[in-house]
Amino acid sequence: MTATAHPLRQKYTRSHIKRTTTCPGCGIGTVSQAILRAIDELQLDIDDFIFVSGIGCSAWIPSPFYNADTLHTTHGRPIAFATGVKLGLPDKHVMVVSGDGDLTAIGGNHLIHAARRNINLTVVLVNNGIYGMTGGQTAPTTPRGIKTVTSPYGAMEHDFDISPMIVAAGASYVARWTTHHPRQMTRSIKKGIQKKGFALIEAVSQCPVQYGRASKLGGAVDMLKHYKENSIRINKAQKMDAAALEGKIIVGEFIDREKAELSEQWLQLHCEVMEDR
Amino acid sequence: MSPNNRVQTGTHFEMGNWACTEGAIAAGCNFAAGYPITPASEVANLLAARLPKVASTFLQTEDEISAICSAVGASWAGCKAMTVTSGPGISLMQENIGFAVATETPLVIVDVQRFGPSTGVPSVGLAGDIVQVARGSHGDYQIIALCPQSPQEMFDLTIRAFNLAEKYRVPVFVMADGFMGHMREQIVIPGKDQIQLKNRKIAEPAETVLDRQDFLDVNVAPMPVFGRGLKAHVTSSCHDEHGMRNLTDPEVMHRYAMRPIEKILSHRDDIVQVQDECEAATIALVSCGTVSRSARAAARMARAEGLNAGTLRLLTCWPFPDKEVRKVAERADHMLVLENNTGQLYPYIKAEAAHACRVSFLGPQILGQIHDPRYILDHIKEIIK
Amino acid sequence: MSKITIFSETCKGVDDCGICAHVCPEQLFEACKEMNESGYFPPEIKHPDECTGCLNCMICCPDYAIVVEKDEDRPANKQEDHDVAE
Repeated sequence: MTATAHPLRQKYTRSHIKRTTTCPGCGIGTVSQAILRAIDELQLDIDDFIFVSGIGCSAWIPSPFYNADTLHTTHGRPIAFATGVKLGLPDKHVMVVSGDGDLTAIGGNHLIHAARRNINLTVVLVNNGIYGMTGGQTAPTTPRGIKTVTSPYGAMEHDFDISPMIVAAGASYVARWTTHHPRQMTRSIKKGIQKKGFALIEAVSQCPVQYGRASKLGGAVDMLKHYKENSIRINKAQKMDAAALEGKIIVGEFIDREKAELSEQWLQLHCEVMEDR
Repeated sequence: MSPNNRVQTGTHFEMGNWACTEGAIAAGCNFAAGYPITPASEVANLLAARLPKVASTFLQTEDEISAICSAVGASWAGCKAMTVTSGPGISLMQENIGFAVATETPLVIVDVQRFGPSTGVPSVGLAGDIVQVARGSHGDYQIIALCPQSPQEMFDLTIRAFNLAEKYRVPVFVMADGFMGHMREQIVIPGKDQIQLKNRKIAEPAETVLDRQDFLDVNVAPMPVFGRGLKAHVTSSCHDEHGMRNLTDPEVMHRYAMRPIEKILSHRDDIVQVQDECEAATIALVSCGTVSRSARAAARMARAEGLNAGTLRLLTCWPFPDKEVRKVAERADHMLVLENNTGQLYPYIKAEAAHACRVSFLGPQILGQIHDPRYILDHIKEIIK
Repeated sequence: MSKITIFSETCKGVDDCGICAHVCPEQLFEACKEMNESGYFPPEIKHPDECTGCLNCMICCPDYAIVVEKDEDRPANKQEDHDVAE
């Protein structure tokens, strides 16, 4: 019997959404699959999730596609909205899916504080190094020297190394993978979902139309080859010096720790205060 | 008086900010987010202490933008949510006030107004945000704004704000100011059974969102609150009745903008409240908020001198009380608008009243200090001449 | 053997995308001669019996356009635990 649809699409997406909205070769769809595969492998009910996304191509992963509660917010703010959702529904899984511009530029402060608070959110941050939807402007993740539509003479600023930054901010779990590592990405997303604390999965993803052209890295396949050739596992990277790591993408788990989580502490406080009656 | 009870029945002598907090809690608020800002901070401090006692959550956010966003998120999680701030915070919140309007999110925003522009004077009251709360976000939309004039009304109107927010799925502002927030007066809190509360209608499960109308009903669509398997699609992009984004159909664009406006304006008789004490008055003093206390005193002094003055107090400034203003204008010879600013409601009042009577504006002698009633009285006498 | 279904109408083409062709360890994907409705050349598989059931294509396709139904009798493939195209 011929399959009528991809099993993840059939099980978890809205049937009236006929088309994906990404450019040909865009890695966002691969990340989209990695997320649904994580939920599927954990055998969780997608109705126990609330997906919150901001503005940008990556924010279209859950909204409108996923057949679940989806909240599509203003630019940069999904983590702030998600914090309210989680505190209002502490028993549900709240997942933020958004891009590097949305979450580290305009939304940077919310990202840092959510990690500091250690609120139980799973954040899939799709990092494609550029502002894709608006036509290829420089992002805080665009490497120095790349010429974009807003850095026509070459980007002069340095770029963020997101994962270590969010470890320093206090997150419980941080991992980075590229679209060359979809299985590991799924495994880390599963860990993030199950983690009682703030979890960030940085998903480095190819944007062939904007970033590929600006960086001259080429099309989707060229960029995937670039990820494969330049990805270094974190335990290996820790033994290498800065010069050897130039231009490399460090992948793996950056932190996995236990610390008091905010929504659980709130539930506890409610019980304690009520007991004092 | 057990602090673990929502309704602190009894007679109290407290500041307006305390009354506002107790009003929110009596109304059933179970989530508040806020960022410290004078002269509103006491509300946040009190909420932080009181909310856990009623099994509710207070979040001090990293900024005002996070405060309103998390309040909206909590509202979608099913909470009666609020945030509290002052003028500079409202300015920061504008984009997401628009989000709350466009997604038809029940929300209460308490604005304890202060002297502007900009950082200005944190502890001095000014009716600085009257226009900002209605027109500060981009685009055309309607919100509800209530104007208390006393700590007692900060209690009463905060409850009303929550009820209106739930009924109309819209952000509702409580327009206090620094004077009222920090002033202590008697506050009577009734028994729990004397307080009527309203709760939002919740959507029913359906096969898909296409089988349900979650938005754009002028009579308020049931809200597809999260976490109940309703598979809600909520976006502030232009959307149709199902919440699905539509950026191509001009008719959908029209409905997306117009229906939430019609939702409020078609129910304005239910929403608008005024205190009309202008029966046979030839001079009508129109005001709202703290200034109304001066207006009332001035009208009383005028009448004592045989001058035919009365007051029209607006307890709701948005949606604009057009009918009520017009009615008074058609009876009076002169409408004197009194505001503690340079005239924010004045143009709207004048537009509604000028065909029927003379309309003029009197700001305070010193901006930020509410009018001395004698100053108003002298002005009334000038007008009568 | 594995059964491979390609949803040509949702595919964005071997030339413009080509991720499936890149991640297939057996290089089984080739562009069709005919365009789909969107103007892309979707892939076809000339030798489906050579499919090892690694699922790389199904997992990586950004458009959910490929389904691989594995032959359950076939021994488990090591590929599945590794990165694609290792």
